[in-house]
Amino acid sequence: MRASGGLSRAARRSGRGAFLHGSQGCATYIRRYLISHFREPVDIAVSGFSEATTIFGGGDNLRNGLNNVARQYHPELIGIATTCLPETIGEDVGFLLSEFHPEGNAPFRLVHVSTPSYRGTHVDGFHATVLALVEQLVEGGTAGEGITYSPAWCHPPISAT
Amino acid sequence: MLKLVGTGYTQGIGPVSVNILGDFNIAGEVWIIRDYFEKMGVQVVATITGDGRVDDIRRAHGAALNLVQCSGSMMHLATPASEERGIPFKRVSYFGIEDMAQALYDAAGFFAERSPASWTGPPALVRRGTLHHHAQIDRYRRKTPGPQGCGVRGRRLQGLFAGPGVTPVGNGHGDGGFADRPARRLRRTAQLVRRGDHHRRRLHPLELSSFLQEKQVDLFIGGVKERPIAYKLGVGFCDHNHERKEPLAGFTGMLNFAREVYNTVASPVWKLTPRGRKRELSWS
Repeated sequence: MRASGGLSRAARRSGRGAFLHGSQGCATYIRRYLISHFREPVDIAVSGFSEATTIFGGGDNLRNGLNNVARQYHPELIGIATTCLPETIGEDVGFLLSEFHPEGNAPFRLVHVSTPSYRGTHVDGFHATVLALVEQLVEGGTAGEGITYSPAWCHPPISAT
Repeated sequence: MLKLVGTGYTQGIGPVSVNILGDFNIAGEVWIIRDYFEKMGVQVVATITGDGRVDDIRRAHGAALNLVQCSGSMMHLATPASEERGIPFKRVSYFGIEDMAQALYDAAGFFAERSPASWTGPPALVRRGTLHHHAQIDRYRRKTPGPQGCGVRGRRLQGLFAGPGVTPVGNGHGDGGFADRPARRLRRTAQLVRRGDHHRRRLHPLELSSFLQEKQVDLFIGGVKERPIAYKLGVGFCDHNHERKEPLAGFTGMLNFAREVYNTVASPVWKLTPRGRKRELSWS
């Protein structure tokens, strides 16, 4: 559930890809409820953990998945949430992403957030994602003139200048 | 479940008996199917897993034949039953008049030697099932305008289309199925899908959108996650997910499906979409 909060934040802005590092069913579950609720197509890519991945690690799945998303959706940003499986086997997603080199030419940013379902709820996942976006994207400098407001996990973020 | 089978007593199970594997009693479908078989004089021992009972599953090894609908999930049971207990299985579909009738005839044919009387069951049932609904299905077919294409999820649904006159143009299978024997699954699908159809394996949303637009379909059958994609493309949609409330299996299901096809394809709301406006011009 924690992942669903995070992904609902990532999935509902254009130019962003939502990616789940874990098994396919987890993504399907989240998609099913987001789609029913918002009555909108919601795409969430997934690295597709299998039994072998759980033992040997999901690095290859993550790399292939990110390249697939980049090639097909051309996002500016991909948000990566995790499920219970990679968290339980101690997958270091931050390290995997630091070693990741996209295949194509179009640049995109990556933001990852830890969202195992056995820690917290979807609301916690949402807050963790908002925090991760700020921590991993903000570069400092003088304040701009706009403001982005993310009121709640069930509400799309609002940007105003 | 394999551990359960064989742990019960088989008293009271006759030689003309089946297990129904792979129907999940969505909208009461297993009750509809069970009723057909019992009217034919075929005893239904266990229904797996729709409306399943532990005691029935424990004595499932007493049945003479396994009827397998959802191969993906049920072959794990049907194969050991056949290899270890000698209970044969037949693949069936309960969707569409032809497939439903074929399922009844296949079961009756299997039991023909042990019980010649069972042969009289299917013709009467099929006649009653089709005649009763035929006039209404025909009425919907005549009211559903224009040529229809259809993309589907789930190859078993092919049998549904003949009723309302839907021409299938594509077929995909989704999350189900296991990794081994992929070649055999594709061969089975090739048998079910008609010549000229296109088979796609597990379309994701982007591929699905392009496929629907490329094929210019009027109707898409899928689950809840596909509905907004179809609607946004101006394509009618028929829901086949596990939470639907209308049975689509059996003879009754055919009528429900024809009604759903009519309601969605002929909906006046499509006249407001660019694609619908173009289609109206081409029909007039």
